[in-house]
Amino acid sequence: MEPLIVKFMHRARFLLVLGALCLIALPMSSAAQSTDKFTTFFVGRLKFSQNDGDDCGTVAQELGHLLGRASTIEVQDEKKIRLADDSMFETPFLFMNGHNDFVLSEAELANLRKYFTHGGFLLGSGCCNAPGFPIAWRREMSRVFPGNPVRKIPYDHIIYRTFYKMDRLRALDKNEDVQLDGLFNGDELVAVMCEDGLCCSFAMGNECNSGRGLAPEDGRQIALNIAVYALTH
Amino acid sequence: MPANSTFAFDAAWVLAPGAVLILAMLGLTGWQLARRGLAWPETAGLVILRGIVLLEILLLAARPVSVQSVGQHHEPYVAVLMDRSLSMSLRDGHQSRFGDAYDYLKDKLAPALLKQHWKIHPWLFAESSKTASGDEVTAAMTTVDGKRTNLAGALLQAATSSAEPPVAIVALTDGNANDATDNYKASSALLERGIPVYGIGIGSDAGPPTLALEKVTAPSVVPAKQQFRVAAELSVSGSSDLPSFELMLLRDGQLTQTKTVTAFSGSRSWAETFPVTENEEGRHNYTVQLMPPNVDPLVIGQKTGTAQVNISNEKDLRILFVQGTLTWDYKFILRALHSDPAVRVTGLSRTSDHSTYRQNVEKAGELIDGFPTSLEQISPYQVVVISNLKATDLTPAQQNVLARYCGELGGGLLLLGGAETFDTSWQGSGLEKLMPVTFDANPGLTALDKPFHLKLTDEAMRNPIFQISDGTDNASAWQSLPSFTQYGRVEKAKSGATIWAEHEEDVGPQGKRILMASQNYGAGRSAIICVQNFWRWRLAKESDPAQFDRFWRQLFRWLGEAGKQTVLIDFANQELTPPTDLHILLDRQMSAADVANTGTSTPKLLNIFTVSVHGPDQKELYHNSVELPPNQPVPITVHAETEGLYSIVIKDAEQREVAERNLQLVNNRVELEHTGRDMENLKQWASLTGGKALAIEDAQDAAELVESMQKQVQLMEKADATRLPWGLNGWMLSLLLGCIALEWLLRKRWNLL
Repeated sequence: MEPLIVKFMHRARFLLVLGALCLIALPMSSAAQSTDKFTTFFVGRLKFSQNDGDDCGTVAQELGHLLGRASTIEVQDEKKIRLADDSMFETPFLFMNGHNDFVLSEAELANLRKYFTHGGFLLGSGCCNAPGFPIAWRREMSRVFPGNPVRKIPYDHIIYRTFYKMDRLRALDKNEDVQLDGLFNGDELVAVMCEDGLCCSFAMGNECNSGRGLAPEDGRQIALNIAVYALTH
Repeated sequence: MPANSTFAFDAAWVLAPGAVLILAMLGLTGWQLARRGLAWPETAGLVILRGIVLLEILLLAARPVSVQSVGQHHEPYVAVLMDRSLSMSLRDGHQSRFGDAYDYLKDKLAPALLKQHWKIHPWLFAESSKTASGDEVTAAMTTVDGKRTNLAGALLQAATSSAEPPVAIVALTDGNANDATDNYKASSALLERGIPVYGIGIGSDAGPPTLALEKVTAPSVVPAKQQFRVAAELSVSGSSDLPSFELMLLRDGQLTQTKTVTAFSGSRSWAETFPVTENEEGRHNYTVQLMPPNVDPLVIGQKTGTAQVNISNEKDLRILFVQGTLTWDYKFILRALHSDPAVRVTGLSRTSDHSTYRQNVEKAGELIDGFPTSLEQISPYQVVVISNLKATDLTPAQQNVLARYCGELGGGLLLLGGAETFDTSWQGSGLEKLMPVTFDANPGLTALDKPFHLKLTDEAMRNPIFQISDGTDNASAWQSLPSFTQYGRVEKAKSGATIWAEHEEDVGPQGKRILMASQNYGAGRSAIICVQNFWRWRLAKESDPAQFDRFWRQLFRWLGEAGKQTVLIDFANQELTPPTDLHILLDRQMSAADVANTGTSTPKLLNIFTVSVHGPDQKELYHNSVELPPNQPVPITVHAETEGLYSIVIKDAEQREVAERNLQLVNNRVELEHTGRDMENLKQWASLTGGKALAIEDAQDAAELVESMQKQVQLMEKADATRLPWGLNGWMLSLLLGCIALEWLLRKRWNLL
């Protein structure tokens, strides 16, 4: 009869080998199931001026969740990108938000111009109804295509109906409609901005913008419409 | 033919030892008889009788034969075949090949043959052959322009034209035979008559450099105000330097553009393109004319080619883009097609297992139930794209609809997928049958793919679909595409498929991994792209979005072209060289109206079409009303006398054009397709007939050649002679028996028994 210690050693050796095999197999199986990231929906979170892309931190995640309602497309984590980075040209959907004024350099504008011409899309959102960001966004984006300034997107535009049919968007704190701002390259809508705390609405449940801006459900619906528009136009 | 008889022994070696033996035997017999006291006259008589018997036996043992030779020529002559086909006008050195052949005949071969007392019967041959006098051979120097080389026909003629065959046939040719119709007859005749063929290969093995305009292509239908490209496919063979030369584009005979092809060296095939935009609707002929450089020696093949383009806004292209989920590729492909107002894309994207997202539907209720389940639902579209779907995502009935759509309605089908799409569910599926490839049962660990680049095949680079940039920088435009990360595994291309792109490194069980391929399927076309995320090409910082857009527009136009042809026009002719009768097959595809009328009697009006054929200079060659029932090919025949562009146009009962096809007939390409000397062909004839094949540079000693010719002729005559046994007859037997009987009688009389 084998001593207990010998039996233990046999079993330990067996478990050791089994564990090693598992360790080898684990990355293989996970690799085999991994998705090509370029086949997924992922948000490029823009860092610009003094903004590090941290406002409404879960906005990319929430946008992904929303998109899960409209498509079986897989959603990946956001990627932070500077406007001057070349990696911008591997990210078909960019998001930028903030509270404050900002100014884009000529190099950043040139990058954006090329990005839009090549088919990229940008979603902007003012945070917490702060006026600085929307004003700056309109001003700076109007410099991208000289002679073609940012303009309001009328309600008959397809972006209000790509997934949810939205006749109009109402502000919570004012008796007025909320209209998206758009930058067009020819007749192609390449960038959209909502000044009334869109990101706060769909990503933060409007907690940071309480009583103002868009109702959370409206925010979720228009955000999804914009994402679907970006994927289909 | 005279026949001489001679006498010979097949076993002559028996004679000498046999004679010695007989002498010994006779000596012994004489000695024995003398010992028995027989007088010498009686002894001599008996020995002579015995000697006659033994001698006769010895002669018969040596197998005497009567040899009747049929190969002896009363007036021996050699037939000399002079090739005067167009390829013999090529110059490998200071003069034409025909000139080299003529000099060889005059200065070397003829004196050697005459020295042998063999006459010369010259022949001139190309597509046909005829005997020629010396003066006619000399005069042929100026008309070396035969359209084909029928060497076998010339050998047949030379072998059989007179009762007395030539002792040999010498062919002075480059060996580039391109008409093999008489091969069997010629080889039979040569073997039957025992005529050796001596082929003297004129020219050089590489041949002089050639420059040719192979083909001119352009989209058959283009909307007005949209740029398209007229592509001229050119080829250069040979390794010499080629200086720059001009190409001219003529629109309906009027010069519109010129282009300079810069100097280069070495062989290559490539395409030069002319951008064209037409503002008005109409049909135009675009002719590209090659203005060859003044280089010596340089063979110029086809110099012009024409393509016809129908500028029409009526032929909109409707695309149904079906995808398993929303993808970035869809968005960017839509962008690419956005600039073409004649292209309308309807999207059908799956958003969950039970819901779809419809985009750009044109009628209420269109695709309301998702993917079409009948031909009627799918027939409005010229192209269907299946993207990010697995085979199991479509029911067998839907797959069957797609198969009928492509095969019967002439629709175009594009399968877009990647590593996660092309799984084993595709194997043996109804959709696999449509595709230009078979799918891989064991795709392996696709997630471990390294970034890779597309590598376009030569076929793709010559295809107008892949002309995304002007002229020479087209290849570099494709090389500048960003790398891709994963791709779908397919096993291999089907027979008849065209591979457009391969993986730059990865190899599957059947060679390089296929990334793009296409094929014709029934009346339609199908293509597969195994790489997803093409959007990265358009978005890439250094890319030119116009190139991406152009590729997708051209691909969809190509896929949709088959579907626009309600009637398919095909040619039964294997070779299309004028003058010829064009055998045209008109095959009307089943249309949506036919589908709607299934089960009822098809209105006759639906089957009536007007077919017109125009030849070069717009001369109408055929104009008739023809009944074309669906899927029942109807043949028509039109005589094409000259080279040039022939166009076939079919209109329906309301005089709307439903199909058209152009055909460029050329008549001298075949002679200049291969300019190198073909010694192999000459060696085959020589080997078959017991002759020889020599390159002209190895046949300079004509006397030696004629000597070997004579030896061969003698060998063949010997082999051909008839040998009849001699002596096995009643006379010989009677002589034998008579001598034996007489000896026996004499021995009995003289008491010697």
